[in-house]
Amino acid sequence: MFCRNQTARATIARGSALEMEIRRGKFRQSVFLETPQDSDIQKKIDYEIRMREGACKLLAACSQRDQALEASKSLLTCNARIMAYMSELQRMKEAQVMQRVARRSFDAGPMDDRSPCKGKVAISDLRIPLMWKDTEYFKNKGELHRCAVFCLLQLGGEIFDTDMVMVDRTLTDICFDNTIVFNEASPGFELRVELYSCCSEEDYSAGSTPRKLASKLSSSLGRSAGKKMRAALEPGACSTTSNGGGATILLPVPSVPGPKYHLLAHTTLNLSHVQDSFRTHDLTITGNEECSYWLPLYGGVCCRLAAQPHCMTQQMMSGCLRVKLGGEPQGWTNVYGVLKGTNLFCYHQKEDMEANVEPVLTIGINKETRIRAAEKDPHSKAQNICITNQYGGEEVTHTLAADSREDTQRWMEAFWQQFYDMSQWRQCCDDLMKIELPSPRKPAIVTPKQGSLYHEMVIDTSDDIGTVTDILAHRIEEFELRAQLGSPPHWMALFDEDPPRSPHTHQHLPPHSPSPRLHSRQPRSPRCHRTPGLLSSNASLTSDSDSPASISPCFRQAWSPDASSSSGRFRPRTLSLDAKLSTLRGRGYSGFRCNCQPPTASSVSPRPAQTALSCSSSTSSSTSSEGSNSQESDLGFSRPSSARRSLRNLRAKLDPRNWLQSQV
Amino acid sequence: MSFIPGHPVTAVVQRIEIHKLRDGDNLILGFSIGGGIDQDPSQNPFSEDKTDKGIYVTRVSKGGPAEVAGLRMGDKIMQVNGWDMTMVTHDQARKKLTKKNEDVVRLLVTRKSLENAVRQSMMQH
Repeated sequence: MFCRNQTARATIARGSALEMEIRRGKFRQSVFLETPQDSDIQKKIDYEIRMREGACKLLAACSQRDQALEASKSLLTCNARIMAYMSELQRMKEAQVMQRVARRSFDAGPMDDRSPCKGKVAISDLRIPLMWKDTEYFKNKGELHRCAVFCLLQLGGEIFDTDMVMVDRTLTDICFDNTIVFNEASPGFELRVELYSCCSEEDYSAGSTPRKLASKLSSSLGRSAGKKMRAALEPGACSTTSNGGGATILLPVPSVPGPKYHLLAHTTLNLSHVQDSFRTHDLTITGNEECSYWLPLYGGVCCRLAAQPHCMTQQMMSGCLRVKLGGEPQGWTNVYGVLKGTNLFCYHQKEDMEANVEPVLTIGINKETRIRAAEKDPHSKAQNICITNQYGGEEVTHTLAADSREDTQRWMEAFWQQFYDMSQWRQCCDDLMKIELPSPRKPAIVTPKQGSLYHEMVIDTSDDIGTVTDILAHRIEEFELRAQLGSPPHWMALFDEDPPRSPHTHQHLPPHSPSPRLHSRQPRSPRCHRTPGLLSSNASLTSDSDSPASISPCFRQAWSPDASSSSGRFRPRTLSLDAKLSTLRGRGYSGFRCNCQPPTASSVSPRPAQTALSCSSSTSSSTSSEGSNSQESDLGFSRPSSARRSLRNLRAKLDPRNWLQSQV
Repeated sequence: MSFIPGHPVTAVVQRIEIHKLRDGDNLILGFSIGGGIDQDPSQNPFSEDKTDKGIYVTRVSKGGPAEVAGLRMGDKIMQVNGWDMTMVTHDQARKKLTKKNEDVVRLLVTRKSLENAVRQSMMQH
């Protein structure tokens, strides 16, 4: 038991009545122990306990799944913070006890033990890639397996959580946009990153199912449902963070109904991981595929971990100095020196520094600098300080002197401390890393669906020739009205399944062109005559190798005369298109039909030709070009073709597991 | 028949001209096709490269127009009447072959034996 009067009490047994009382806020720990830091921590603990109670109440009261997830997240964070504070408190008590009991004299120690300066550590742009199996993605049936995830970041005694993100298989990465800044970090810091996830598919909270139903169900759960239920009920949520010792201290968590988060992955970052750019770190994944909260992580986390030690951002030392400028032996100049970062700035006066005037002299203080106290200058009482730098092969020495011996000592001390800090903070002292402070209040931008690469690759087979046909059918009507054509424009016949009018479509078979590669079929005679009026031909065409052209312009341009199969054509499919168009042209204008020879191509180089109805023979670019083809058309885009398509076996066709064979 | 994404496909091809046979209202060619960009290429028994999503001839009916014209099982169809077949879906390929207003289809097909033959003849020189 404990004695209330004794102030030497250091530890409070876990689970003891005193702890409970303290947690309930009935007693302040400071009643027993009087140190200002204790009361600080105590206040924090009290605050967190209150937050936790609020979160519990909210969790019990809320009905919406999203609210429940958020509340559960705050509960977990509060628990983690409470544990961290308590363990810190315990450590402080132990340290105090050690001090008092041992009665060791620490005076000799600290002078030699320098402690490095603290710094700010910021972690931002966390991104955790996922590795979905493509089969999982493509089988679009079934509901999405969603998980709510968030990250808990702990450094020293500070714990922060990121916002919650809903993850399902449309996401390729989990991205957390938060920037988290830890203010008092020592160079030996350990930043623990933990990823928690909670399955958000069905509601497993026992409290939500009505009792009768629950009892009926409890006796008759299927295997997978039972597994999930068991996973949901497991008390994994208790083991949240660990203190420096690494042992997870189980805090008796009040059992609340509602979603529970489980630790999915964790990693620890330290000074060696600090860099001014993005880096990928390995994640240790706990949990396996059987867990309900499982997500297929790729195994790494990408983030930007930056550190700003105080020696780089703050003035470590400032005071009046005298600098020997120039070559004169007696040329001492009074300056106001400021030691900050990797430089010693010397200003004329103190006011200059505050006014941001350029310093008179800047002496670099970095790892290469050598500083020593020179022998006593016979003219002054104090020692001189010589700072030697290497500027590109040359050694430059500056000589400084302080006003008094104590000042000199202090300056030397400051320099030594600076060197020590730089050796401790290593790469952070090469250059100042930028840390963007998160804006105080970001409006919650709710993106309904995070963009995913996979969506852009969806092959929509209904966007094909049939849809185009319909667009063109509409177009034809317009044209007919406008141009008062008796017959539909020739190119419409391309898409007719039935022979439109006259049977003389397959007449003339001009000789095959010599090129062995090109398919030179010419059942229709190529036209050399440009049709007047209707559509003007445009010489410039987009190249068909990459971008899909929109439908309407390509039709206009399809009228160019040399629709021939002459040699030098690189792309037979356009060739045939031209041929088809030209014969259709012939069909429509019977007066001009002639069996002319295939005219030589006006341009030898492969014409950057009609892409057009490469909407059917899709180019080697993705077939999503088809979809965009249709969409770029400026016609009102409707899809009556879906009615025409037989949807019966559409699903069978869309299933990539099949390998269909069709008889033709 | 190697396929490098982004580069033009090169192949030794044979031209095959199939005259469709009219069977009542239907025009038949007498073979079956498999493959397509929407199909699973690993199940293609004829392709050398199991990621090849081209259109392959899986069956040729005996005595039919296709066999008469010289089409063989296992051929990869590169073009049909000028329309490209290397990057089409299965249904698109089928449609290009079964157009009712065309009595003749001219295919460009490739097969391994062609390539071997060309290579041998080149090596002989």
